[in-house]
Amino acid sequence: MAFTSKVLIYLLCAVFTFAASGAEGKVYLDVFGKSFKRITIAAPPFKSEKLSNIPSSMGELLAKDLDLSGFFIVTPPSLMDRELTEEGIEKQEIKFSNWRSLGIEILCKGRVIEGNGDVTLEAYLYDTIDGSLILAKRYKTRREEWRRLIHRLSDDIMLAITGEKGIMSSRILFVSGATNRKDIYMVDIDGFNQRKLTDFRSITLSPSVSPNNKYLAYTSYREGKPNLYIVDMERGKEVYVDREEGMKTGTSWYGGNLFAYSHTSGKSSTIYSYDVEKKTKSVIHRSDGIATSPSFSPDGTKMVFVSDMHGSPQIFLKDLPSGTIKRLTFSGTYNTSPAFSPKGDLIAFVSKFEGALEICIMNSDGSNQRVLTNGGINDSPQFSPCGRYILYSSNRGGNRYNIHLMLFNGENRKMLKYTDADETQPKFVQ
Amino acid sequence: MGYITICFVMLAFMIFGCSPKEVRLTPTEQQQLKEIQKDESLLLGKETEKRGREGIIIEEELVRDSGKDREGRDLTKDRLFEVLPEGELKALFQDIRFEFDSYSIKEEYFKRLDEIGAWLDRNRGVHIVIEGHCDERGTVEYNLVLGQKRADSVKNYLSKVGVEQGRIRTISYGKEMPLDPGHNEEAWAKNRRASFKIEKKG
Repeated sequence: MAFTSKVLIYLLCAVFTFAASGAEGKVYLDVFGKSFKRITIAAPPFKSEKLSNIPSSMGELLAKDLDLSGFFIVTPPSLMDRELTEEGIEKQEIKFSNWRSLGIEILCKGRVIEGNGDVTLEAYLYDTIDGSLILAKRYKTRREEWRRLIHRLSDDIMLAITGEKGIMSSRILFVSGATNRKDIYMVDIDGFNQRKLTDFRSITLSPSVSPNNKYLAYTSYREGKPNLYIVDMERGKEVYVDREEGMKTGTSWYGGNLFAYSHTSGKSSTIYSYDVEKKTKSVIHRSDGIATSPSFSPDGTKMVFVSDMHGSPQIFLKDLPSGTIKRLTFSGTYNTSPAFSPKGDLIAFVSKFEGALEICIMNSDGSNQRVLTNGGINDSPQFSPCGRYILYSSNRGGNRYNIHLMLFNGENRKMLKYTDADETQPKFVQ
Repeated sequence: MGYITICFVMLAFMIFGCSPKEVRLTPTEQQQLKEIQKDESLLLGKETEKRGREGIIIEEELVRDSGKDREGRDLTKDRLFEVLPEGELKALFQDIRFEFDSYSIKEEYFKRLDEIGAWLDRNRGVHIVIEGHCDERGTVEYNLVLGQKRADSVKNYLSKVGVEQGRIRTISYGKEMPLDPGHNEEAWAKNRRASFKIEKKG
């Protein structure tokens, strides 16, 4: 019986891996030039002495986080028999060969202790090949904050396994609302703790948050025309407003306190840089026609932007110290919405194809352009702070726009639906 | 509706209330004035209506019997509106449509824009807002800017035919305020537009 069930599990594992590869196109994940296989991880139910639903909810959330990360194949609970789930969490109690025989490479075990309104999780991460302990951590927080605790654990698992922290503790800034009632929202990536940051009964869009999380910038029609605002989030005070006639949009931060946006009015467009601490404003680019959507390399020396100087919207790279401008996109007649990766090696953008707007990626010199999405209207790509994920909005799978997340190679595309209205212009907030 | 209605109520108040002996509309003109009031296409959008923060600034004297003031100067140029036959004003201020991703004005609109310019020249108290809009098949941010260029193209044309730039405001709504919510070429063509709103007397 045990033998047959194991064979069955083997088969299921094989089918599982195969199904996953079929759905995503590739199993191997290209991470910064290296190829990684998706790692099979198992997280049996956390031990707990108290009768509470928190430990099992924690297990479910961890599985969800690991799956969303795109780096793991999470072993479903149904594949773990009683012997495996009831096994202890200490190294000497674990029969690694049993886990290995299921094809499981990484094992996450944990114990939950509840008391005094607090919840503590002791988590251990083992490599089943040699039984080595990869991670051993104790997390403690208030009982109602248990979700954050799991997000922290999954980010640490990502760090231990892939060398870079995960994104599950991040928050997402986005725009949502009906046609002429759009506001800015902030939400935990898992959909909890949603907050409405603006409430103007108007159109408010193109948000961005400063790297120190102190300032929120956006374009809003709340005074009857599109003006640009920077607000101190703690004090709720406007620290900068541009009320000039014309369109002011394309908000982006770089080099700590520097904020950039474009202003289009009359014949020309100007991209301004505003130092929010020194309160000084300077021109970093001015040209006829359209120039907008600035995004900066991490060292702040290069700016990628959209211009129609050659007729159709294309993406250009400006070296700020020298002022040299290089055109990066040549294929197609519509390339917009560029976003620098936080490492400065890649640029995500939107390109128009027959009836669709697709998220694409290229090296920061314009080489190696690749299409990541597959149909629909996809817009506003933004990298995660670690550079491995791209957030974007998409109407794929319906008429509504929702926030989507994918790996920067286009794999593991997931819809993150937070509201019942159109959701656009998502950005990661640390 | 409210904003312009208030304008017209004010107008009527000034006509019939303030200086009843000096200003008089013929019954036909009154009828036409009512028609314009009904013409919602020329009213400011609801957004503006609700805000209403700019207030109503209608101060100049209006049409008089003779069309001349006491010193004999021609006052017809100071009328708030030149009253046109039913539907004509609406037709004159119809949307200007654009090709995909374009902000150049198509030749077919030159004649009408010339007429709008001439009308604005005859109605010097009128200020207008030109709104630029786009269809859904573009990125949010680029469309916000493209809509501005569309509105500015129309403004540029009108200023070339002699309309003072200070009488024209431009606002882009990108693809945020589609006229037709459909997802087909017919809807997109309607949505790629510059539309006019008659704003106020300066």
